[in-house]
Amino acid sequence: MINILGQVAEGQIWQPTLTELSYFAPELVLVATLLLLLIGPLIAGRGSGATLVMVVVGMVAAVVANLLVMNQVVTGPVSGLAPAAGHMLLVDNFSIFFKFFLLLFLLGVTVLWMVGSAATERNAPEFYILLLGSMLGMSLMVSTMNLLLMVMAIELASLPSYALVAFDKRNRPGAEAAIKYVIFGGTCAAIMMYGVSLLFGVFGTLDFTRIAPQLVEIFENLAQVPASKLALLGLALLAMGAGIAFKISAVPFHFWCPDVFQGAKIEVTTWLSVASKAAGLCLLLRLLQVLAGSAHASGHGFSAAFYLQVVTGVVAVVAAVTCLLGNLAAYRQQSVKRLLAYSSIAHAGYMLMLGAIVLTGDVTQLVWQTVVIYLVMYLLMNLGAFGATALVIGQTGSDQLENFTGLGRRAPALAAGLAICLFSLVGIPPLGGFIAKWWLLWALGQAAMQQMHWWLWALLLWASFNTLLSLFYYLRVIRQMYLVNDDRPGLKVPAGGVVLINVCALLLLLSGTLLVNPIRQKVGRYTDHIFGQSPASIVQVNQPQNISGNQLDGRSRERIDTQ
Amino acid sequence: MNFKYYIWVILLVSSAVLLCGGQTALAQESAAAAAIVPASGPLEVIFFWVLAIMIIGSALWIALTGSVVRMAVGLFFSFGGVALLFFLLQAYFLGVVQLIVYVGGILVLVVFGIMLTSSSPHVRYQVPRMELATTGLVSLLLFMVLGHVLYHAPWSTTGPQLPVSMNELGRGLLTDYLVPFELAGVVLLVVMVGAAYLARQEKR
Repeated sequence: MINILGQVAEGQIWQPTLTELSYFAPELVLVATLLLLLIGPLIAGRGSGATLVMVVVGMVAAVVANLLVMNQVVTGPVSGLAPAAGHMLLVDNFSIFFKFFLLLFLLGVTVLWMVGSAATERNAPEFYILLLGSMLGMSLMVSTMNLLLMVMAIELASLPSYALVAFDKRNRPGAEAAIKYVIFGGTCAAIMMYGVSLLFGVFGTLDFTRIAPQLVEIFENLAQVPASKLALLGLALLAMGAGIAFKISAVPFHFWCPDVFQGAKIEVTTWLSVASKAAGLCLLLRLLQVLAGSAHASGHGFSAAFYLQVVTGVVAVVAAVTCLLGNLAAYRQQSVKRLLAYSSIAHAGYMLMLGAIVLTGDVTQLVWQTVVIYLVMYLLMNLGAFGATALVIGQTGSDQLENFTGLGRRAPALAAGLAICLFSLVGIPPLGGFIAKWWLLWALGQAAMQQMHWWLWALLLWASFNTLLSLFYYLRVIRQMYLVNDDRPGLKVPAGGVVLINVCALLLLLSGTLLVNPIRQKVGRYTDHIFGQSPASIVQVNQPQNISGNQLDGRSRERIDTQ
Repeated sequence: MNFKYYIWVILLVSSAVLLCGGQTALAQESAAAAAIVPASGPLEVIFFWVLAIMIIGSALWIALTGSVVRMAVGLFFSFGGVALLFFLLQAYFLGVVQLIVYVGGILVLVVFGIMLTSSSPHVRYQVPRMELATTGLVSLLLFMVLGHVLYHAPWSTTGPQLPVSMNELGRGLLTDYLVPFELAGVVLLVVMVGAAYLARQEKR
């Protein structure tokens, strides 16, 4: 028999130290909030109010924890919670940003929920357990480089979402949408796991930071690598990409999106439209970033490795098609939820274009800054647009376009906020959406200037062309609100909802005008020293198994890239 | 009435296989520390082909039969065959897990699901011809691509040495793979809450 406890006491067996755990405090706080929501109702009852208090306590604790960690990782990413399995969990400035982003969004969705359905909701604790569960999954998706944990995080983000879509049990379209979502999501997850297991079979490790240099090496010596191995790698990467593309709802995997968005409760739709896509996108960017870092480290840049261009090309084509399809399909929609669903597909396409240029090397910093700005603006725009739709649904019972008729007269404050959000979704100056698009085009242009590839210019033109296309269907809603008029009675919308929408609109207005410079200065705070950016961070230090707890404190967390 | 017998047969056979599997695993576990002979004798080859035919045959049966209960029976042989294949490859723990989770858990769940939800256990499952043709074509293409690529692939042989002892496995789960291990608990908790919520009858 082995005396395990003795070995732990002597420090021969690894266990996480307090400092190490403190880096992942925000995640732990989220889990604690989940448990609180499970146990709390036994004492405080299942009412919406009590649940709300618990959620707010959890959110505040998570913000505090995130703030405490924030200053620890300013100078470089930290990885830990595993002695030898590589970058199991990691924290860097961007993952800090992403947690703030999710918390802010959760706050918005909570306000929406309070205004819309809190009064009639009888299952508030379950709703928030599922919501927080998917949030934990999303935040882990952006904080890991281990393929196993990545798959599990995607599952943790997806599985509660399926249940959330079917949350309103009296709603048959919701149940149907949930079934479609489950089947589609399950298949994509299976394909993804297949790809990941193939990668494991080829490389013998699940740590992507160890896989990436080998991938780059293979790409650079294409002539010596047998074709059979390339085919296997291509298959594995394609299968892995399918799972991520499902989360982003990029084109061949977008079918679930309109049905689910239309069928689900509007709070859930809002949540999925931003958070789920953002998490998938950031995960993809992280993987590509590590790949780019490895290519950089090996001395060959982007242009030396032909295969990297193939990866980039695939991402670019998917992004371009996603944009076009989202914008074209949005035209014919009569349901505003469905219209916004296609609009979110188009926006996923715009953001996916950034994935195409991460690998080009010199513009990575700009790419990450663009992601931060675009995500924040996209959050505000979508929260406003979906929030206004929620209020209209709450008053008229349906989200058909005709219910928006004359909204400019029937509910002027609501209509004004919605109009600003919609104009911002198009990207009209001087709104926040314009700033986001501007950064996107700027990043694409920079990449095109440096690489001198015609297709990067084409991508830039394509993004602008699609912006033009999108103008018309957003304008349809605005036209219906202001220019079509009949004698419908005025709407009495709840004040809280109008305030939420107008706060979003105001922030969009400000960020497009007065706040442009502060934003530009602030954004660097979250995009410096990102994991995988510099070649040094790719080096994996193997931890010796038999070291004492005190030594481990300093060693198991590697601080990387301190310059 | 026949339906009941199906369930009894499945429960009995699965528990028998479970017992046998557990015994083998325990016996092999103690022997694992001793020298390991790579499995490539004639008996292994014969056993492999028998299992392969069993797994693929029953999988095909699942896809082609119309009766939901027969599908469950096919599933039993398919899952059981995979478990035995794991034993053949000296992945004893994986074999036992396959038996407990898939044969003992999921399969019985499927059978109960059929029994509790449908009005008649012998529901026929009809697929339109057109769908059958297109899915058949897609599956065939997928099979050809996967088969071709996987058959010719040069696999890495530097993976972990099998069999891994239970001690190493347990230690791995609580050190290197502590985070995924704990996360699995959170996933299950959240999913359980979701499932319980969806299955609960709403009080009027």
